[in-house]
Amino acid sequence: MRRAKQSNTTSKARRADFTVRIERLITPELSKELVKLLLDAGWTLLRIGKTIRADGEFVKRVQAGIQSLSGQDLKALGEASGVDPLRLLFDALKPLAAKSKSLDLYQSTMTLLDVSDTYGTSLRRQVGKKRRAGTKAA
Amino acid sequence: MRYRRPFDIRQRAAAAESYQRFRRHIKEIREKFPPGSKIERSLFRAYRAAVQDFARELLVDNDKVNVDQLGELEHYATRKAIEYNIESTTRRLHGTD
Repeated sequence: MRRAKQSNTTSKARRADFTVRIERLITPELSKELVKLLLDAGWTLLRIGKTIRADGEFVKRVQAGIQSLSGQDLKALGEASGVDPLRLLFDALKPLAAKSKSLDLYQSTMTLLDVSDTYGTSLRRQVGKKRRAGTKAA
Repeated sequence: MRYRRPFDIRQRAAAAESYQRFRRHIKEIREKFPPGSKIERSLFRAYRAAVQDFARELLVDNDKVNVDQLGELEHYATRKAIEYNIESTTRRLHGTD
């Protein structure tokens, strides 16, 4: 805690200086994993297409890892699923973390999210929930 | 927000636990997953700075803690941690520096 006694002007300025656009973080692989996650959570390709206002071909290309979702798409999916867009990306990251041998980092970051109220809602919690009989996908 | 007035001993304990988690996370990044690109270095710096500011907010007495600022800093630091994780994993996946 000794470093915490310094003046905070510099660090605040540094924080203000650096923001990364969410588009920067989205890749075709991550988009592919996100579509897979949404399907696991009970979404359909049609619903994904309607939510991001894209045709079926585009969604299939994303599903195949050929094309990437945009920041706007991610925002729309976040609003529709009730999960923060960044958290959606993080949820989709797990299989890639395993492939890149950085699962430890993923799990360590996950422990931070356990206490966060904004990023606490996860799409993974919706995975496996059964839809009630008689309801249709939007 | 997770923190609210009156800021009491329970909230301080929760904030202290968050701080410890951030510290452990930062240590793990530094030792096992150090920044390997310019953007990762910037994210890591911003993350560390936010955690330091978070700790600084906790140095004052309970009645003087700015609970809104504390919540915002925790939120911001968590965001930077996620961004770093995504950026680092993507780079490692492609094997580029």
